[in-house]
Order: sequence, then structure tokens, then C-alpha cells
Amino acid sequence: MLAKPLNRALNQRIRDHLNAYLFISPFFILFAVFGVFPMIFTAWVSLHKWNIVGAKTFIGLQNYKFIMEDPYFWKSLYNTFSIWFLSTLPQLFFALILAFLLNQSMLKGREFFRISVFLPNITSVVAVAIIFGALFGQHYGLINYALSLLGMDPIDFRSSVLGTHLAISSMVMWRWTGYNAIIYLAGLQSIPNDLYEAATIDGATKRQQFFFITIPLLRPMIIFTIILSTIGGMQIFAEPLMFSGPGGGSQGQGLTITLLLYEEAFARQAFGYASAIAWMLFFIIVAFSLVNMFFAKKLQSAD
Amino acid sequence: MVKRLSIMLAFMLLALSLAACSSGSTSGGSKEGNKAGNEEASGAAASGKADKKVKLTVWLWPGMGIEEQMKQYAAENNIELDIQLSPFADVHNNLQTALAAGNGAPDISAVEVKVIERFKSNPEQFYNLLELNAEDIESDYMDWKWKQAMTGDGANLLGIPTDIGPMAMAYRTDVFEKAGLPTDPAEVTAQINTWDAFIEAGKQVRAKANVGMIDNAASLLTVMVGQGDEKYFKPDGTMILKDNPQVKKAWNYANKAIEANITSNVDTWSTEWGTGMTKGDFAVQLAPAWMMGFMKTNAPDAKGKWNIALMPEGSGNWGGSFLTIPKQSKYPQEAYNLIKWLLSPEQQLVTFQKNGNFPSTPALFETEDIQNFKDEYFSNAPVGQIYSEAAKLVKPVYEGPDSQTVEDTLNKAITSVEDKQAKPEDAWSSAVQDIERQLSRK
Repeated sequence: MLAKPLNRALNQRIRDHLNAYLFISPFFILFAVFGVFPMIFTAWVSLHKWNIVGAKTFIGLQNYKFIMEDPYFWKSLYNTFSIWFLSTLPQLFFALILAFLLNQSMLKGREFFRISVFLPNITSVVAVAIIFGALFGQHYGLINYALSLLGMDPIDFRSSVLGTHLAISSMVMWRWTGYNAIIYLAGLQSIPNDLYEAATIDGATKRQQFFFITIPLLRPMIIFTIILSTIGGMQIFAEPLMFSGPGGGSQGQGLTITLLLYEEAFARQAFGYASAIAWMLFFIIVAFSLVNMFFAKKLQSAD
Repeated sequence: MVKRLSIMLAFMLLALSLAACSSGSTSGGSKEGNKAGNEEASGAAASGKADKKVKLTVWLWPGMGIEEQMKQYAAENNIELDIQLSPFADVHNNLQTALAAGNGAPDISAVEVKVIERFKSNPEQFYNLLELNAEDIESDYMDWKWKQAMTGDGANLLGIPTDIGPMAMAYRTDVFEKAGLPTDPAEVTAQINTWDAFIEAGKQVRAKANVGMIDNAASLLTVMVGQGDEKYFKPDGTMILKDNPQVKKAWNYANKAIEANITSNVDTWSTEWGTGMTKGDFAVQLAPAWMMGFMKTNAPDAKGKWNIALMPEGSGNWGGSFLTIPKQSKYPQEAYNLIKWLLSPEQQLVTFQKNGNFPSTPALFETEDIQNFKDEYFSNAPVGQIYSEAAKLVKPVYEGPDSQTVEDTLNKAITSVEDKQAKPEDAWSSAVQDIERQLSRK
């Protein structure tokens, strides 16, 4: 007696679910085609030796084993982290200061400055890299020209490890400081003004206000920007390619992970190996995001 | 925590998929090619109609100087032509992608000599031009150049030669004069006839004009390696990098040049290279024939300050290309007819006169058109005569599919020495180690 209505109700529920899935399916179909499939295919390719035009040869985990012994991979890992570190820390620091300044009520023409700090972010990265490449040029670079006016010897940025990393980091900083400043600015504006007023009445200086009110309340924003710049920094590609050339310079000083991946695929036709590097990069980013989240949780629960 | 993680993962996947999309859009050239390919397929289906025009898609890079002649041929032969120009590296990458995808390749594609070495391991991707009776025109072309597009067993021919890149030495007359060196091409050739003499002259240039003799040590290394009978590999695939005396010699001379401080440490193709070429920061540019065009566009203001003489210890070949017909083409015969006409001696002469690309057909070398060809940019040097002389000195060299990898690694090694970041011995041994490791993976 009871079985039939129950069955019908179940049917109705299944139909409802089906409808819901149909409605959300466009995203999942696109995601499957452009997201999941390439990832799985990359994983499959990474188990092969493949020059893309010819046939694939299955070699198991050989590619991953080779990565572990590949000095280029480790060098590129070091370079990527070094560039990330050199660019992210100062970048976020300057962004915070910029945002703080932009948020001052005495500042005239605030809209203009807000647009100006964001402008570098929408410029073409290749154009930025070419201009910065010219700035850091050894013989005719603007920076070395300035040094020569000060009576110093020109620096060959391109040939040294530190010089290359500094130059690439400066491009990243130039493009992303304004972007982060705008995010911080949004955070700053959500901090209620009465906190500052109360602090002023209690006799706190501007500096104390910055460190004891602004920074703690901005914490979620700071965490967000750190995660974003970590993911971005791990994938840095166009800047080193333009600055150091395809091979990453004479000692691989500008070779980042993505640049190595590109080199292996398109210069050396080792598509299987390049796919394996792509997966290593994926794991590294996952690991880093987990570490980031761990710290983020700690910071948040510190309140 | 788990929820956050999944959101994070979803975001990362999204970012990845976006990255995939954007990288897809950069290869727009091949997409257009796709479209063209589809149209062609439908064209072939409807080929019953006699009035249907044959449509050929052609991939070239800028500076090849053959577009106009192609259009002329198409107009005369009632062929519809779609010439797509993209940067040098993109043509090769797009072609490789299109071949791998099995769709989207053009009817005719230009392929450079180093890249055709790689494609030779997959000859099934191209029409075998021997089957289109290409051997009928074989005698028109330089033997070594013809063989560069042929598989090792001689069974497959992938492309017909366009231009060749015989090497000569462009030099700044103003810098040479300052340094007390001769400026007349014949005298320069007589005085700088060995690489030792080259380095001696370089020391003079450094002492009296205070500029480098050559842009960088890697140029010298590559060019000198190319002067031997063999490079890095034997035709059977064994690597002879360590045993080839010419490589050793080239390496030693590149190091001597660094020690003598006669290199300018300017990377080839960089912006500073163009500036240096205009200002005379290096006295010599080792130049294949097609380099003339690059020098004119890179350093237009240096017109009349450069001159050209023969290079020390013989010539060599740098670059030069082929026209190929990918297997995906529906009209191999029409494409072949176009190539055959375009790369015939008569038409190669037209290309040379317009663009400076040196013909691969030796019958032209002795003609008056070439012998009397002078170039204003190079102080009215008889460049036609010099390059045909150089072309006769070129020895055929086997490259091998991994030649580029070896060359890149050696260039990096010598650059690290030039940058004072490594000792010559260390740079050499780590380069050899590196190359062996790379090749072990192949």
C-alpha cells in the first residue's frame, strides 16, 4: 500500500534533481572539456615519451624520475621561489602603504590616483618586459646610465643570478603593487571610522593606529593577496622569457618552472616530460596553498 | 577546512582551465588554418564542379620575400591563395600542432633547416616530393642543400630549398680605419684570413678604437663549428661532440676571444645588439646572406658604414629554408606546381634582387645579375659576388635532429664564461654532461 506513493515521491525527487543538474550543467560541461580533460590527458601524456607529431611510447614514471634528477628543474624551482620572494614581500608592503595613503581624507584628486595605481596592471606584460629589459640593459640601459652619472661601474644585470631575479621581480612589482593596493583600499574602507576616532581620543599616534588597528583588521585581505600572489608567482612566465630569453640565460638564471615546461615542450619536443613538469607544478601549488591556509587559519583564530 | 580546500581546488582548476583557454587563443593562426582546412574539405567534396577554384593556404614568416611572386603565380593560374604570415617560431609551432592534431595544416608551409631535421623523423606527415617527380629539378639545386630535406635513407623528400645562408664577414669600415686595419674588402680578406689573425685584429680594434671585434663569443663558436666537415652527430646518430676536433677548436678560439677581451658581450637579436650595430660597438658581424636584410632594418642609420669581405678559413652555412606540403593538403599537385615555379632559378633571382635572400640554385652564381649586384648599404660592396664565392666554399654538414639542443647548450656555456660566471673547463664539462643527460631522455 505504501510502496507506490513512496516510489512516486522518489521519482519526483529524482526528476527535481535532474532538473537542477541540467540547469548547472553548462558550467560542468565546459569545465569538463577545458578543465578536467586537459588535466587528465596531461597526466596520461606525462607517462609517455612523445614528440607530439609521432607516436607515444609508454615509459611509466620515467619522466618523474628524471625530474628528480634534473638539475634544471631544481634550478627553476629555486629561481621561481627566489623571484616570488623578492617580488611579493616588498610588493605587498608597498601596496599597503599606498592604500593607506590613498585612503587619507586630505588627499586631493583621489580618483585620479586610484586609477593611476591600477593602470600598470592592465598594460601588456610583454610591453612591460621589453621596457624593463631596456631599463636594465648593460650598455644602454637607463639604470646603468644613472649609475654612470654617479660615477659607478655599469652592472650586467642579465648575466648574474641576483641581477636577473631583481629585474624580473621589479617587473612583477610594478604590475601588481597597484592591484594589491586597490584590494587593501577596499579593506581599509570597511574599517569603521569610530575605531580611529576612539584611538585618537585615547592619544594613539597615526603610526600606532596603522599597526594596531589597520593591519589586524586587514588580515583577511592580506591573506587573500598572499595566496593570489603565490599562485601567480609560481606561474611566472612572460617576464623571464622576455628578459632572459628562451633558455633562461647563460646559467639558467631566469629559468622558472613554467619557462622550463615551455622549453621542454616547444624547444625540445619532449611533451611527455613537459606534462610531468606541469603536474609537479600543480602539486607544488597545492602544497603551498595548504601551507598558506594553515597559517591563515592560525592568524584568524588568533583574534 | 575540507570545504575551503575544495573551494580552493575549484578555483585552481578554474584558473588552469582559463590558462588553457588563453593559450588556445594565442595559436589563432592554426585556428584560422583549421577553418581554411574545413573549407577546403568541403571544396574537395564539391570538386565535381569544374569552375571551383583551387584554394591553397600558405604559411610563411615575414622577410621571406616571396609573397608577391606567389600572388603573381596564383593570378596567372587561376588559383585562390591565402597567405598567412606569422613570426618565425610560431609558424613552426603551429605547424607542429596542426600535424599532431591531424587537422589545420596549410597546403604549403615554410620550414627552416633546423626544424626540418626534426620533421624528418616523421616523414609520413608530409607529401614525399619524390613521388611528385621532384627529382626532375634536383640538378637545379646545390647538392648539400637538397639533401638537407631528405631522410637519411634517401626515400623521402620533405621540401624544396628556398634560400641558403652562406657566411661572410660584415665589418665597420670606420672602426677598422680607427684601428689601423685595412678597409678594402680584398685587403681585409688577405689580412684576416685565419682566426688567429682575426683575434690579432680584434686586439688592435680593442686597443685603438676601444670596442669589441665581435658581438659575443657564442656567435664565433657557432660559426666556427659550422666550418668543419662534421658537427655534433654522425649520420647514424652517434654523438661526436667530444671527439670532433672542429668543435674543440671552435671552443678554444671562442675562449681565446674572451681572454683577449675582443667580444662586446651583446646578445644577438637583443635591442642592444641593434643599437650596437648602428653605433659600431662591435667591428664585425659574421653574416649569412639573409642577415643583410636584418642589418638594414635593425640599423638603418649605419648605411654606408658597413662593408663585406670573405670570412676567415672558409665559409659555412647558417639557416635557409624549405617549402613543404603537409600531408593534410587536398591539392598536393597544385601546391607542388606553385613551389616548383617559385623556387626555379629564374624566380629565385627575382627574390634575391628584391630581398637579398641568396639563391640555392648554383647556375645563377656566375650570371651577371648576381656577379654585378652591389649593395649601397654595404658601401657598394659586390655582395652578389662575395656570397656566391662564399656559397661555393660551403661544405655539406650533417646536423641531426638534436643539433639545436646541443648548440643551445654550448652557446649558454660559452656565454657563462663570457659573463665571468664560470671557468672555461667547468663550463665545457658541465655542458657536455648536460647534453648527455638531455639526450639520454630522448
